[in-house]
Amino acid sequence: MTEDDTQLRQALRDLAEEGRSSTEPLDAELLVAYTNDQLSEAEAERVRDHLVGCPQSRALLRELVHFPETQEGMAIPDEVELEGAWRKVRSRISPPEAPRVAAKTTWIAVAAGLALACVGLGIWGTAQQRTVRELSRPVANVVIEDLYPIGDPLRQRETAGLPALELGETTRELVLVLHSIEARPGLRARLYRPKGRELWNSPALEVEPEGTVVLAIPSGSLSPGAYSIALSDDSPGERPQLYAFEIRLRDLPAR
Amino acid sequence: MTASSNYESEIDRQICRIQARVDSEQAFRQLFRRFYPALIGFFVRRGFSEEESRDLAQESFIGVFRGIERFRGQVRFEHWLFQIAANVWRNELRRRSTTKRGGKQLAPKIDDPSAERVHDATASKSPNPLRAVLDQERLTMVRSAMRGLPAQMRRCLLLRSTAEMSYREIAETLRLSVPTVKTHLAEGRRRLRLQLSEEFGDLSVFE
Repeated sequence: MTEDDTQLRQALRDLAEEGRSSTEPLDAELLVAYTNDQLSEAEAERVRDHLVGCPQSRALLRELVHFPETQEGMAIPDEVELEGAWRKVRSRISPPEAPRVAAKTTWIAVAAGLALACVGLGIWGTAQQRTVRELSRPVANVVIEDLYPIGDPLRQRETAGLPALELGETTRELVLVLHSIEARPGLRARLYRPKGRELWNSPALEVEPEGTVVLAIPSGSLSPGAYSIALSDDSPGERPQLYAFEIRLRDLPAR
Repeated sequence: MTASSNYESEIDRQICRIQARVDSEQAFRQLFRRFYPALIGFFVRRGFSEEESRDLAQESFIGVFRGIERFRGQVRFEHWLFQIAANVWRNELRRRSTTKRGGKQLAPKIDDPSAERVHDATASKSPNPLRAVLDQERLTMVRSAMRGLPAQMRRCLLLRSTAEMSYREIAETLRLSVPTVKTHLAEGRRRLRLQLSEEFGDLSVFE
Protein backbone atom coordinates (compact mmCIF):
# COMPACT_ATOMS: atom_id res chain seq x y z
CA MET A 1 0.00 0.00 0.00
CA THR A 2 1.39 3.37 -0.99
CA GLU A 3 1.66 6.29 1.38
CA ASP A 4 -1.06 8.03 -0.64
CA ASP A 5 -3.41 5.11 -0.12
CA THR A 6 -2.68 5.01 3.59
CA GLN A 7 -3.29 8.70 3.93
CA LEU A 8 -6.46 8.55 1.87
CA ARG A 9 -7.80 5.59 3.78
CA GLN A 10 -7.19 7.38 7.08
CA ALA A 11 -9.06 10.44 5.85
CA LEU A 12 -11.98 8.27 4.76
CA ARG A 13 -12.01 6.45 8.07
CA ASP A 14 -12.19 9.76 9.93
CA LEU A 15 -15.01 10.84 7.66
CA ALA A 16 -16.88 7.58 8.28
CA GLU A 17 -16.54 7.96 12.04
CA GLU A 18 -17.96 11.46 11.93
CA GLY A 19 -21.35 9.99 11.04
CA ARG A 20 -21.61 8.04 14.29
CA SER A 21 -24.19 9.35 16.72
CA SER A 22 -22.16 7.99 19.68
CA THR A 23 -19.24 5.73 20.40
CA GLU A 24 -21.63 3.02 21.58
CA PRO A 25 -23.02 0.42 19.21
CA LEU A 26 -26.65 0.91 18.23
CA ASP A 27 -29.38 -0.72 20.30
CA ALA A 28 -30.64 -4.02 18.94
CA GLU A 29 -34.16 -2.60 19.18
CA LEU A 30 -33.25 0.19 16.78
CA LEU A 31 -31.57 -2.24 14.42
CA VAL A 32 -34.61 -4.52 14.47
CA ALA A 33 -36.79 -1.55 13.58
CA TYR A 34 -34.31 -0.56 10.84
CA THR A 35 -34.29 -4.07 9.42
CA ASN A 36 -38.08 -4.19 9.43
CA ASP A 37 -38.46 -0.75 7.78
CA GLN A 38 -40.19 0.63 10.84
CA LEU A 39 -38.13 3.82 11.13
CA SER A 40 -38.88 7.19 9.59
CA GLU A 41 -36.61 8.10 6.70
CA ALA A 42 -34.73 10.59 8.89
CA GLU A 43 -34.15 7.96 11.58
CA ALA A 44 -33.07 5.40 9.00
CA GLU A 45 -30.57 7.92 7.58
CA ARG A 46 -29.07 8.43 11.04
CA VAL A 47 -28.79 4.66 11.51
CA ARG A 48 -27.05 4.31 8.12
CA ASP A 49 -24.58 7.05 8.98
CA HIS A 50 -23.83 5.39 12.28
CA LEU A 51 -23.40 1.98 10.66
CA VAL A 52 -20.84 3.36 8.21
CA GLY A 53 -18.59 4.45 11.07
CA CYS A 54 -19.27 1.73 13.65
CA PRO A 55 -17.94 -1.82 13.10
CA GLN A 56 -19.70 -3.13 16.24
CA SER A 57 -23.08 -1.98 15.00
CA ARG A 58 -22.41 -3.47 11.59
CA ALA A 59 -21.50 -6.78 13.19
CA LEU A 60 -24.67 -6.72 15.27
CA LEU A 61 -26.76 -5.88 12.21
CA ARG A 62 -25.21 -8.63 10.13
CA GLU A 63 -25.86 -11.13 12.86
CA LEU A 64 -29.42 -9.92 13.24
CA VAL A 65 -30.10 -10.24 9.53
CA HIS A 66 -28.81 -13.80 9.50
CA PHE A 67 -30.04 -14.88 12.93
CA PRO A 68 -30.38 -17.74 13.76
CA GLU A 69 -28.41 -19.09 10.81
CA THR A 70 -25.08 -17.52 11.81
CA GLN A 71 -23.62 -20.24 13.92
CA GLU A 72 -19.96 -20.36 13.01
CA GLY A 73 -17.50 -20.53 15.87
CA MET A 74 -19.82 -22.20 18.30
CA ALA A 75 -20.18 -25.64 19.76
CA ILE A 76 -23.59 -27.11 18.98
CA PRO A 77 -25.02 -28.72 22.12
CA ASP A 78 -25.84 -32.38 21.91
CA GLU A 79 -29.20 -33.89 22.81
CA VAL A 80 -28.31 -34.55 26.44
CA GLU A 81 -27.05 -31.05 26.98
CA LEU A 82 -30.02 -29.54 25.20
CA GLU A 83 -32.46 -31.44 27.38
CA GLY A 84 -30.53 -30.53 30.53
CA ALA A 85 -30.59 -26.87 29.60
CA TRP A 86 -34.31 -27.04 28.88
CA ARG A 87 -34.95 -28.56 32.31
CA LYS A 88 -33.02 -25.72 33.93
CA VAL A 89 -35.04 -23.11 32.08
CA ARG A 90 -38.29 -24.96 32.75
CA SER A 91 -37.57 -25.08 36.47
CA ARG A 92 -37.36 -21.29 36.44
CA ILE A 93 -40.45 -20.61 34.41
CA SER A 94 -42.72 -23.17 36.11
CA PRO A 95 -41.73 -23.82 39.74
CA PRO A 96 -41.67 -27.44 40.97
CA GLU A 97 -44.77 -28.65 42.74
CA ALA A 98 -44.92 -31.39 45.38
CA PRO A 99 -43.02 -30.49 48.58
CA ARG A 100 -43.55 -26.79 48.31
CA VAL A 101 -47.24 -26.86 47.57
CA ALA A 102 -48.38 -26.46 51.22
CA ALA A 103 -46.06 -23.56 51.94
CA LYS A 104 -46.91 -22.03 48.61
CA THR A 105 -50.63 -22.35 49.28
CA THR A 106 -50.24 -20.62 52.65
CA TRP A 107 -48.38 -17.78 51.07
CA ILE A 108 -50.95 -17.51 48.32
CA ALA A 109 -53.72 -17.37 50.94
CA VAL A 110 -51.88 -14.62 52.87
CA ALA A 111 -51.21 -12.72 49.68
CA ALA A 112 -54.83 -13.10 48.58
CA GLY A 113 -56.02 -11.81 51.99
CA LEU A 114 -53.75 -8.82 51.73
CA ALA A 115 -54.83 -8.21 48.17
CA LEU A 116 -58.52 -8.31 49.22
CA ALA A 117 -57.84 -5.88 52.05
CA CYS A 118 -56.05 -3.57 49.60
CA VAL A 119 -58.92 -3.79 47.15
CA GLY A 120 -61.42 -3.01 49.96
CA LEU A 121 -59.39 -0.03 51.10
CA GLY A 122 -59.07 1.09 47.50
CA ILE A 123 -62.83 0.95 46.95
CA TRP A 124 -63.52 2.79 50.22
CA GLY A 125 -60.92 5.44 49.34
CA THR A 126 -62.36 5.87 45.86
CA ALA A 127 -65.86 6.27 47.31
CA GLN A 128 -64.59 8.92 49.73
CA GLN A 129 -62.81 10.73 46.93
CA ARG A 130 -65.95 10.67 44.82
CA THR A 131 -67.99 12.14 47.70
CA VAL A 132 -65.43 14.91 48.18
CA ARG A 133 -65.40 15.57 44.44
CA GLU A 134 -69.18 15.72 44.31
CA LEU A 135 -69.37 18.05 47.27
CA SER A 136 -66.68 20.32 45.94
CA ARG A 137 -67.93 20.35 42.34
CA PRO A 138 -68.97 23.88 41.33
CA VAL A 139 -72.72 24.06 40.76
CA ALA A 140 -73.68 25.57 37.45
CA ASN A 141 -75.57 28.74 38.23
CA VAL A 142 -76.45 29.57 34.64
CA VAL A 143 -78.77 27.57 32.40
CA ILE A 144 -78.22 28.05 28.69
CA GLU A 145 -80.71 27.09 26.00
CA ASP A 146 -80.87 27.59 22.24
CA LEU A 147 -84.24 28.76 20.91
CA TYR A 148 -85.64 29.18 17.42
CA PRO A 149 -88.64 31.40 16.63
CA ILE A 150 -92.09 29.83 16.33
CA GLY A 151 -92.55 28.88 12.69
CA ASP A 152 -88.84 28.81 11.96
CA PRO A 153 -87.94 25.66 9.99
CA LEU A 154 -84.91 25.21 12.24
CA ARG A 155 -87.05 25.03 15.34
CA GLN A 156 -86.27 21.45 16.23
CA ARG A 157 -88.55 21.03 19.17
CA GLU A 158 -91.70 22.30 17.58
CA THR A 159 -93.25 18.89 17.34
CA ALA A 160 -91.91 17.70 20.67
CA GLY A 161 -93.60 20.44 22.64
CA LEU A 162 -92.01 23.33 24.44
CA PRO A 163 -88.44 23.10 25.60
CA ALA A 164 -88.61 22.18 29.26
CA LEU A 165 -85.81 23.76 31.20
CA GLU A 166 -84.66 22.87 34.66
CA LEU A 167 -83.47 25.63 36.91
CA GLY A 168 -81.50 24.48 39.92
CA GLU A 169 -81.79 26.02 43.36
CA THR A 170 -78.70 28.11 42.80
CA THR A 171 -79.38 29.06 39.15
CA ARG A 172 -78.94 32.79 38.87
CA GLU A 173 -79.62 33.37 35.22
CA LEU A 174 -81.45 31.78 32.37
CA VAL A 175 -79.46 32.47 29.23
CA LEU A 176 -81.37 32.05 26.00
CA VAL A 177 -79.58 32.09 22.67
CA LEU A 178 -82.19 33.21 20.17
CA HIS A 179 -81.46 32.15 16.60
CA SER A 180 -82.54 33.29 13.11
CA ILE A 181 -82.80 36.95 14.11
CA GLU A 182 -82.35 39.67 11.54
CA ALA A 183 -80.37 42.65 12.78
CA ARG A 184 -82.27 45.89 13.30
CA PRO A 185 -81.84 48.81 15.66
CA GLY A 186 -83.68 49.06 18.96
CA LEU A 187 -84.52 45.39 19.22
CA ARG A 188 -85.91 44.39 22.61
CA ALA A 189 -87.23 41.22 24.18
CA ARG A 190 -90.19 40.84 26.51
CA LEU A 191 -91.05 37.85 28.64
CA TYR A 192 -94.74 37.05 29.10
CA ARG A 193 -96.79 34.63 31.09
CA PRO A 194 -99.41 32.81 28.97
CA LYS A 195 -102.14 35.16 30.03
CA GLY A 196 -100.21 38.07 28.66
CA ARG A 197 -98.70 39.49 31.83
CA GLU A 198 -95.33 41.01 31.04
CA LEU A 199 -92.75 39.80 33.53
CA TRP A 200 -89.53 41.20 32.27
CA ASN A 201 -88.13 43.23 29.40
CA SER A 202 -84.64 43.49 28.13
CA PRO A 203 -82.39 46.41 27.34
CA ALA A 204 -81.66 47.05 23.63
CA LEU A 205 -80.28 43.86 22.09
CA GLU A 206 -77.41 43.41 19.75
CA VAL A 207 -77.71 40.84 16.99
CA GLU A 208 -74.53 38.85 16.43
CA PRO A 209 -73.23 38.52 12.86
CA GLU A 210 -74.47 34.91 12.72
CA GLY A 211 -78.03 36.07 13.51
CA THR A 212 -78.20 35.28 17.20
CA VAL A 213 -79.22 37.29 20.22
CA VAL A 214 -78.17 36.35 23.72
CA LEU A 215 -80.78 36.99 26.35
CA ALA A 216 -79.83 36.77 30.04
CA ILE A 217 -82.93 36.63 32.25
CA PRO A 218 -82.50 36.77 36.04
CA SER A 219 -84.02 33.61 37.47
CA GLY A 220 -85.41 35.36 40.56
CA SER A 221 -88.63 36.33 38.83
CA LEU A 222 -89.22 32.94 37.24
CA SER A 223 -91.29 30.06 38.49
CA PRO A 224 -92.28 26.73 36.90
CA GLY A 225 -94.64 27.00 33.97
CA ALA A 226 -94.88 28.19 30.36
CA TYR A 227 -93.58 31.50 29.07
CA SER A 228 -93.47 33.30 25.78
CA ILE A 229 -90.85 35.70 24.57
CA ALA A 230 -91.51 38.39 22.00
CA LEU A 231 -88.94 40.38 20.13
CA SER A 232 -89.96 43.76 18.78
CA ASP A 233 -88.23 47.03 18.06
CA ASP A 234 -88.79 50.01 20.29
CA SER A 235 -90.35 52.18 17.65
CA PRO A 236 -93.13 54.36 19.05
CA GLY A 237 -96.74 53.20 18.84
CA GLU A 238 -97.92 49.63 18.20
CA ARG A 239 -94.56 47.80 18.55
CA PRO A 240 -95.37 44.85 16.23
CA GLN A 241 -94.01 41.51 17.39
CA LEU A 242 -91.16 40.46 15.09
CA TYR A 243 -90.27 37.09 16.57
CA ALA A 244 -91.98 34.87 19.10
CA PHE A 245 -90.47 32.11 21.24
CA GLU A 246 -91.79 29.72 23.86
CA ILE A 247 -90.24 28.01 26.84
CA ARG A 248 -91.42 26.00 29.79
CA LEU A 249 -89.71 25.79 33.15
CA ARG A 250 -89.98 22.40 34.73
CA ASP A 251 -91.68 22.10 38.04
CA LEU A 252 -88.99 20.95 40.40
CA PRO A 253 -89.88 19.89 43.93
CA ALA A 254 -86.73 21.61 45.19
CA ARG A 255 -87.83 24.96 43.89
CA MET B 1 -46.05 -23.32 0.32
CA THR B 2 -42.32 -22.66 0.54
CA ALA B 3 -39.95 -24.14 3.11
CA SER B 4 -39.50 -20.69 4.60
CA SER B 5 -43.20 -20.09 5.10
CA ASN B 6 -43.53 -23.59 6.56
CA TYR B 7 -40.81 -22.70 9.01
CA GLU B 8 -42.45 -19.41 9.93
CA SER B 9 -45.89 -20.88 10.32
CA GLU B 10 -44.43 -23.56 12.57
CA ILE B 11 -42.90 -20.90 14.83
CA ASP B 12 -46.15 -18.92 14.73
CA ARG B 13 -48.03 -22.02 15.77
CA GLN B 14 -45.76 -22.55 18.76
CA ILE B 15 -46.17 -18.93 19.80
CA CYS B 16 -49.94 -19.16 19.50
CA ARG B 17 -49.97 -22.28 21.63
CA ILE B 18 -47.91 -20.56 24.31
CA GLN B 19 -50.05 -17.44 24.27
CA ALA B 20 -53.25 -19.45 24.33
CA ARG B 21 -51.78 -21.72 27.04
CA VAL B 22 -52.61 -24.78 24.99
CA ASP B 23 -49.88 -27.32 25.53
CA SER B 24 -47.67 -24.30 26.07
CA GLU B 25 -44.83 -26.12 27.80
CA GLN B 26 -44.29 -28.41 24.85
CA ALA B 27 -44.48 -25.45 22.45
CA PHE B 28 -41.96 -23.47 24.45
CA ARG B 29 -39.69 -26.48 24.61
CA GLN B 30 -39.69 -26.67 20.83
CA LEU B 31 -38.82 -23.00 20.49
CA PHE B 32 -36.07 -23.45 23.04
CA ARG B 33 -34.58 -26.41 21.19
CA ARG B 34 -34.77 -24.51 17.90
CA PHE B 35 -33.06 -21.32 19.03
CA TYR B 36 -30.92 -22.19 22.06
CA PRO B 37 -27.83 -23.14 20.00
CA ALA B 38 -27.99 -19.89 18.03
CA LEU B 39 -28.21 -17.90 21.24
CA ILE B 40 -25.17 -19.65 22.66
CA GLY B 41 -23.33 -18.64 19.49
CA PHE B 42 -24.49 -15.05 19.94
CA PHE B 43 -22.82 -14.84 23.36
CA VAL B 44 -19.73 -16.85 22.41
CA ARG B 45 -19.07 -14.37 19.61
CA ARG B 46 -19.20 -11.59 22.17
CA GLY B 47 -16.31 -12.98 24.15
CA PHE B 48 -18.11 -15.04 26.78
CA SER B 49 -16.97 -18.54 27.62
CA GLU B 50 -19.16 -21.38 26.43
CA GLU B 51 -20.41 -21.99 29.93
CA GLU B 52 -21.26 -18.33 30.43
CA SER B 53 -22.88 -18.26 27.04
CA ARG B 54 -25.12 -21.18 27.93
CA ASP B 55 -26.22 -19.40 31.11
CA LEU B 56 -26.90 -16.18 29.22
CA ALA B 57 -28.78 -18.02 26.48
CA GLN B 58 -30.95 -19.59 29.16
CA GLU B 59 -31.42 -16.19 30.76
CA SER B 60 -32.57 -14.88 27.39
CA PHE B 61 -35.18 -17.62 27.19
CA ILE B 62 -36.49 -16.72 30.62
CA GLY B 63 -36.96 -13.21 29.17
CA VAL B 64 -38.73 -14.68 26.16
CA PHE B 65 -41.09 -16.62 28.39
CA ARG B 66 -41.85 -13.57 30.50
CA GLY B 67 -42.51 -11.37 27.52
CA ILE B 68 -44.16 -13.71 25.04
CA GLU B 69 -47.68 -12.80 26.18
CA ARG B 70 -46.97 -9.30 24.91
CA PHE B 71 -45.40 -10.41 21.63
CA ARG B 72 -47.77 -9.33 18.88
CA GLY B 73 -45.76 -10.28 15.82
CA GLN B 74 -44.85 -6.74 14.73
CA VAL B 75 -41.43 -8.17 13.89
CA ARG B 76 -40.27 -11.70 13.20
CA PHE B 77 -39.96 -13.84 16.31
CA GLU B 78 -36.27 -14.36 15.60
CA HIS B 79 -35.68 -10.61 15.60
CA TRP B 80 -37.58 -10.22 18.83
CA LEU B 81 -35.54 -13.05 20.37
CA PHE B 82 -32.35 -11.45 19.11
CA GLN B 83 -33.39 -8.18 20.71
CA ILE B 84 -33.90 -9.90 24.07
CA ALA B 85 -30.50 -11.61 23.80
CA ALA B 86 -28.88 -8.26 22.98
CA ASN B 87 -30.50 -6.75 26.09
CA VAL B 88 -29.25 -9.64 28.21
CA TRP B 89 -25.77 -9.08 26.74
CA ARG B 90 -25.84 -5.36 27.54
CA ASN B 91 -27.16 -5.94 31.04
CA GLU B 92 -24.44 -8.48 31.67
CA LEU B 93 -21.76 -6.05 30.47
CA ARG B 94 -23.25 -3.36 32.69
CA ARG B 95 -23.40 -5.71 35.66
CA ARG B 96 -19.80 -6.75 35.18
CA SER B 97 -18.55 -3.23 34.78
CA THR B 98 -20.41 -2.27 37.96
CA THR B 99 -19.27 -5.18 40.10
CA LYS B 100 -15.85 -5.33 38.41
CA ARG B 101 -15.85 -9.05 38.93
CA GLY B 102 -14.21 -11.70 36.88
CA GLY B 103 -11.28 -9.59 35.73
CA LYS B 104 -11.82 -10.76 32.19
CA GLN B 105 -11.99 -8.12 29.54
CA LEU B 106 -15.38 -8.41 27.97
CA ALA B 107 -15.44 -5.57 25.58
CA PRO B 108 -17.61 -6.86 22.80
CA LYS B 109 -15.59 -9.07 20.56
CA ILE B 110 -16.06 -7.54 17.19
CA ASP B 111 -17.13 -10.14 14.75
CA ASP B 112 -16.58 -7.86 11.83
CA PRO B 113 -13.69 -8.72 9.55
CA SER B 114 -13.64 -5.14 8.41
CA ALA B 115 -12.80 -4.02 11.94
CA GLU B 116 -9.56 -5.97 11.84
CA ARG B 117 -8.79 -5.00 8.32
CA VAL B 118 -8.78 -1.36 9.21
CA HIS B 119 -6.07 -1.77 11.82
CA ASP B 120 -3.37 -2.46 9.25
CA ALA B 121 -3.61 1.03 7.85
CA THR B 122 -1.87 3.65 9.92
CA ALA B 123 -1.88 7.34 9.40
CA SER B 124 1.29 8.81 8.01
CA LYS B 125 2.83 11.46 10.13
CA SER B 126 5.20 13.55 8.12
CA PRO B 127 8.12 15.07 10.04
CA ASN B 128 8.39 17.82 7.43
CA PRO B 129 6.12 20.83 8.32
CA LEU B 130 5.70 21.88 4.66
CA ARG B 131 4.77 18.34 3.73
CA ALA B 132 2.34 18.26 6.63
CA VAL B 133 0.56 21.35 5.31
CA LEU B 134 0.36 19.87 1.82
CA ASP B 135 -0.94 16.61 3.23
CA GLN B 136 -3.58 18.49 5.12
CA GLU B 137 -4.70 20.27 1.97
CA ARG B 138 -4.96 16.99 0.11
CA LEU B 139 -7.08 15.52 2.90
CA THR B 140 -9.35 18.54 2.84
CA MET B 141 -9.83 17.92 -0.89
CA VAL B 142 -10.83 14.32 -0.22
CA ARG B 143 -13.30 15.27 2.47
CA SER B 144 -14.78 17.99 0.34
CA ALA B 145 -15.14 15.66 -2.67
CA MET B 146 -16.76 12.96 -0.56
CA ARG B 147 -19.17 15.38 1.05
CA GLY B 148 -20.25 16.56 -2.38
CA LEU B 149 -21.59 13.10 -3.23
CA PRO B 150 -25.16 11.93 -2.58
CA ALA B 151 -25.44 10.34 0.87
CA GLN B 152 -25.98 6.72 -0.21
CA MET B 153 -23.20 6.96 -2.80
CA ARG B 154 -20.83 8.33 -0.16
CA ARG B 155 -21.79 5.58 2.29
CA CYS B 156 -21.20 2.88 -0.32
CA LEU B 157 -17.74 4.26 -1.04
CA LEU B 158 -16.88 4.58 2.64
CA LEU B 159 -17.95 1.03 3.44
CA ARG B 160 -16.04 -0.27 0.44
CA SER B 161 -12.85 1.66 1.17
CA THR B 162 -12.67 1.61 4.98
CA ALA B 163 -14.38 -1.67 5.83
CA GLU B 164 -13.56 -3.45 2.56
CA MET B 165 -17.07 -4.84 2.41
CA SER B 166 -18.42 -6.85 -0.50
CA TYR B 167 -21.27 -5.52 -2.62
CA ARG B 168 -23.66 -7.86 -0.85
CA GLU B 169 -22.48 -6.76 2.60
CA ILE B 170 -22.88 -3.10 1.66
CA ALA B 171 -26.34 -3.77 0.27
CA GLU B 172 -27.33 -5.56 3.46
CA THR B 173 -25.99 -2.78 5.66
CA LEU B 174 -27.63 0.08 3.79
CA ARG B 175 -30.76 -1.89 2.82
CA LEU B 176 -30.13 -1.44 -0.87
CA SER B 177 -30.09 -3.92 -3.72
CA VAL B 178 -26.73 -5.20 -4.95
CA PRO B 179 -27.19 -3.59 -8.42
CA THR B 180 -27.87 -0.24 -6.73
CA VAL B 181 -24.68 -0.59 -4.72
CA LYS B 182 -22.72 -1.38 -7.87
CA THR B 183 -24.18 1.66 -9.61
CA HIS B 184 -23.42 3.94 -6.67
CA LEU B 185 -19.84 2.68 -6.49
CA ALA B 186 -19.20 3.02 -10.22
CA GLU B 187 -20.63 6.50 -10.38
CA GLY B 188 -18.92 7.56 -7.14
CA ARG B 189 -15.52 6.37 -8.38
CA ARG B 190 -16.03 8.21 -11.64
CA ARG B 191 -16.87 11.46 -9.88
CA LEU B 192 -14.00 11.15 -7.41
CA ARG B 193 -11.49 10.40 -10.15
CA LEU B 194 -12.46 13.62 -11.86
CA GLN B 195 -11.66 15.56 -8.72
CA LEU B 196 -8.90 13.62 -7.02
CA SER B 197 -6.92 11.55 -9.53
CA GLU B 198 -4.27 14.22 -9.99
CA GLU B 199 -3.51 14.13 -6.30
CA PHE B 200 -4.20 10.50 -5.49
CA GLY B 201 -3.57 8.57 -8.72
CA ASP B 202 -5.91 5.69 -9.53
CA LEU B 203 -7.84 5.79 -6.22
CA SER B 204 -7.48 2.05 -5.85
CA VAL B 205 -8.78 2.18 -2.27
CA PHE B 206 -12.31 2.39 -3.69
CA GLU B 207 -11.95 -0.73 -5.88
